[in-house]
Amino acid sequence: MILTQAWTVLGMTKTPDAGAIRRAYAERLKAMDVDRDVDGYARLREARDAALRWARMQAERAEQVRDAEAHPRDVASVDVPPDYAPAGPAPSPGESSNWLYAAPAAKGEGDPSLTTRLGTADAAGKRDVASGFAPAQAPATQAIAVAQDPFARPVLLGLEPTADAVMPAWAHEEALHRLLEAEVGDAEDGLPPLEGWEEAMALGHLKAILRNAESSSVTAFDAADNWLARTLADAWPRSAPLLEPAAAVFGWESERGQVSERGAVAFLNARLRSMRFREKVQDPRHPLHKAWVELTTPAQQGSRKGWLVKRADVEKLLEGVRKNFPELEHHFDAWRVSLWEKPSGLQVGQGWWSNTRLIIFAIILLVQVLRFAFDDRTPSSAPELARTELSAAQTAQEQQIVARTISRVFGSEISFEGLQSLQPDLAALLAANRTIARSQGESEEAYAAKVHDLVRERMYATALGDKGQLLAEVQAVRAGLLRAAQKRSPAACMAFLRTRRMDTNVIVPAAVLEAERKIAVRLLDVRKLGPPARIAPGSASVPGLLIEQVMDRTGLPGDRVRRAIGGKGSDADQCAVTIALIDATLSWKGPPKDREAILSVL
Amino acid sequence: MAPTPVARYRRPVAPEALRLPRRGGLTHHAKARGMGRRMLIGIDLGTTNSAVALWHSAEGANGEAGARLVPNALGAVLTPSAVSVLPDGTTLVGAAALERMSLKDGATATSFKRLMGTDRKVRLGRKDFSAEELSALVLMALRDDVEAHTGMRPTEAVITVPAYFNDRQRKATRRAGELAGLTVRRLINEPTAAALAFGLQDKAEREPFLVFDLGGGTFDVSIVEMFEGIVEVRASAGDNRLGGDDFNTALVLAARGRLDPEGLLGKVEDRRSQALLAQAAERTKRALSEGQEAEFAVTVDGTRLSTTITTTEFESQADGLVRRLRDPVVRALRDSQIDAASLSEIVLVGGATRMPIVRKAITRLFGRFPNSSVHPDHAVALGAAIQGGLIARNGGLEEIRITDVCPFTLGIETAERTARGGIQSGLFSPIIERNTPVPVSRMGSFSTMADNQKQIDVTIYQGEAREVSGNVLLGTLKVPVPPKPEGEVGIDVRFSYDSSGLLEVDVEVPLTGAMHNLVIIDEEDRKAASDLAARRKALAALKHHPREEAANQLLLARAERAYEEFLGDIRAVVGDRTRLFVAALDTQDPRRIADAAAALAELLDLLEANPPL
Repeated sequence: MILTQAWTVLGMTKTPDAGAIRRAYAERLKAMDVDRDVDGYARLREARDAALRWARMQAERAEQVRDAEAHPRDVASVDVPPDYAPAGPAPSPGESSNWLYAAPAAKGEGDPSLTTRLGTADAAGKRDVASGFAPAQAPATQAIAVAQDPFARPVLLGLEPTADAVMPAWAHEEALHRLLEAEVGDAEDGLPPLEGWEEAMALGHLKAILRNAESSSVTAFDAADNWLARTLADAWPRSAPLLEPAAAVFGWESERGQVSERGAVAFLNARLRSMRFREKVQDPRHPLHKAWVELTTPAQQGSRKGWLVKRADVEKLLEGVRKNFPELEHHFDAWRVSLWEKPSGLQVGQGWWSNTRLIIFAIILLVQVLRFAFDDRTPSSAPELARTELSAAQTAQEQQIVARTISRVFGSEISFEGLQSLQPDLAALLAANRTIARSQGESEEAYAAKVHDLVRERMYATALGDKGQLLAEVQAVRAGLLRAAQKRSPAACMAFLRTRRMDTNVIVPAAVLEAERKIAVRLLDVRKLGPPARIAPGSASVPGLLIEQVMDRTGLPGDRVRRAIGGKGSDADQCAVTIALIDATLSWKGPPKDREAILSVL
Repeated sequence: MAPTPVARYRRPVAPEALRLPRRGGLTHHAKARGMGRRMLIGIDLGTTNSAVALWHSAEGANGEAGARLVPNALGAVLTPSAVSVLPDGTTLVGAAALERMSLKDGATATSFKRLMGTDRKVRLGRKDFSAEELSALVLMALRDDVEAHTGMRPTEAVITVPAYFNDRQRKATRRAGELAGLTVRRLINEPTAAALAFGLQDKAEREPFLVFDLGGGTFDVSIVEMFEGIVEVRASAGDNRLGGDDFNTALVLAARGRLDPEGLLGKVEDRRSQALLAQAAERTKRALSEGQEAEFAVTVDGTRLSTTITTTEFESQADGLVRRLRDPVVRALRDSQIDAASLSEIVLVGGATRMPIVRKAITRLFGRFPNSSVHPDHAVALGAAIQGGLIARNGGLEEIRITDVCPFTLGIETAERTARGGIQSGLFSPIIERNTPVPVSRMGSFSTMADNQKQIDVTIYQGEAREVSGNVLLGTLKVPVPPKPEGEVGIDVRFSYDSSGLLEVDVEVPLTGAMHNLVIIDEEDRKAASDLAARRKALAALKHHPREEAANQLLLARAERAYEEFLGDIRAVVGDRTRLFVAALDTQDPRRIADAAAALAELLDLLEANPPL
């Protein structure tokens, strides 16, 4: 309804007074018999809704004007990162109704002074059970909020189940999101599946999220439901192992086939059914099992159709999969499918030779089927924390690996025993992760990289807590690390920014490593490398002066710099701008408080 | 074994003997009819209990305007929704019927609201009853209570139904009213009625609040806003298969294993053991509302079986039920686009919201304590009476208007061409989306799918599934169309849904200008229309126990139950006292009857309070 019509229908002059609109509506409504004038009633309602919407917009605009006046002018305004678009029914524009989808942090939107929204302070203050699930927050680009050891979980999972309680729900969400995030650059070939330890961690976080959702308010439950549905759908097929438990708690399957089924849920429900079908069809007793094996076995040069397989079964399987589980078709070998789809007449009458080839192939196939069956029976490569006794030599070797790693991270002056006496929890974490790394057959290199990431994370968290000189030093080192990663690739740099995991292929200059070791040893001496405390997300204003410097340093135009600060733009931009901003801030002679604020959110 | 002594004593008693002097007789009726005033009552037809209320306008004798509940013959405002048929064919409604539930020959039906809108029959004695007939018997009893109370015979009623009742269930309720000789002026949703009662307590403006209505057999959630004398329902959702009864079942499941290691219950008739367990569960449920643990006890043929149930056990057994409470809440909030945090109140309605386990769940769901300022068992009937007052445009209510929503989606069956060229039929095309404000009129356009198609079948469904097979069929309209190539003949289907929940479908063929109309009447309705009068007569012909005797009948039923439960000396004492009571009834002397009744009641109270082991 056009707004001007609305006022006519309501019989009033344009006003932003919601109370007056309601009064006018009530008066009209009471004067009519709705059952006799259905259309009139519909018109009246529409008029009221349009008028109320307009009134609300006016109120919001007035508020914005007030806010803008209250803030200084020399502040660059930068777009805030977009909230996740709602997958459910789209709320009508202007309606303050997208509460289900928006995070509590959404309050910061439209506030021109908010230049870097790295999780707003507003949200930090209010994080209680009800607002614990913050969908928009979860994918936040550079949220520092999560100062969690990326691989503290396997240790906790195995040894200390009660430790869950200390981690708030949003931290679990962040951690899960990070785990599900694709390794940057791999996205084109589809997401890689979760590795053993990652899966265990992801399941641990998921369990905590689900438990939390079940025991919290309906708003938080619903937000968690929406967030998980979208997150799992986005990260498919990486998220496959998490689907069943999440669907059970949120009752996604009861939504199946409903008119109002949410997009993400519909997607996941289809996957769930495919997964179940796949599981069933892999059982040799399943009537279509043979057909499945036939179509999924990779074809080789000159492969022919398996002759132990019934055509009807293959057709039934193909048809069924295409109709009900189209996403399973990628499991099929395209060559084999084309063999079966060709009209069979083509293969008739090619003489005995073709028959012989058929027999030979059948034997090959038989071998393959046997191998397939055998494979099915071998235990899956699920992570098992080996509890086997190590031989003396192995123990010595393990100790050496840990010692080498420690000296790599802290320098040669620190021994495992020294670490144990200064920071016992870190020592235990190192040892436990070594056990896991060994059972997973990870290289020493990979283990060392993880430990390095862990120590870096703790250092960083301590610096964020302490601020002052330490923060400046740590940020200087971080700029060095980012630069090194940038040399490798913008993606590696971005990965470090986002996940705080350093690509093992990055070559870090010795000077940076040395500076980093010094800080690490210093912190270790005062026993400040403990488990990272929860750090509230914050926001900071970046003055125009710094923006200009960043533009100079990066050679990027202003709008791209602003976008990058806001967490948008290409990896290369974001990476370059972050480095430049750290550098610029470190050499900036502005008020120490502002400087600190910027360094804290970068 | 000698015939049970009690059965012998049940014999017709002259009605005059027990008629209370203040209750009016025929003269009053005549006067009321003579004045030509129609009387409109509000009825809460519940799964467990029913209640009736009246709107008193300000100019009435009592002074203040307001809705008031009408007590039944026993002086209680809640009448159990139970119907029992005595061996002589007489029907009995209410507390006495409920008492008879666990008797050997206690042909009693309860919770029949759950069967509304289905073909299921309940066999009582030698007769089969449908759910609507049983409901009609309850409605008749309530009607008689009003008549006895006011001296006027009510002719019209507003009856409440769960918001999530589907069209069939609503129709069945309407028919029940008509079978009871009441013109059903309107069916209103239970949470809406409760919201009316809640809102009119102080008539204040209210930000959206949520009505959480967990009754004996159904669960409804409505979000309601009040401003400027408008009561606006924003959204409703529910689960019409969830209620207090299910919590009783959970208790039975929790207790059953330990309760009866020797399988005594297996030896009695199935219906009877279930009745005994259900009654025991109800008692335990009430006790668990007070303490951390409660006894679960049944007495079977003189043997008392008992075990203890703790709150924790109950909670874990009922966990699945508690989880089901969340879904409708989320749906209503989503549909109304209202944040749970901005709800001004959570108003509790329905007896089952008394359970601490339910209250705990609600507190957790909303992160705050609910509002229990309305009486959970009375609010719905009072709201129905207020709605009645509104319809009759009674004084004191002129300025209130209610607007409700249609809580489910209505649409028609369509087919679609698939990407591979086939036709997928059985798809549901919504025309009126759920939670649209009513009355509403919406149109959808459709076209033919085959060349030279001669007829389009407009099949009307209600539900939320994308495929019609998952929805409720409401009716079919066959529309002839001129033969033309596929897709060239269009039809416009208009759905009009009025404030009572009646759907009207108009189909227009623009090409020919032909109009077709269908007021949704399903098979059952059509059948019912023809024999409604006959069925009404059949029901009326049933011998109803005179309501004046209700108290005595209840006492006799209790005595009968005690007689069956106990053995030996106690049984003999119960038998003696019952004989004395029946003898007193025969004398028709009010004083002697009262004395004998008091003596029997004293004994039964004693036995029920301190069951001998």
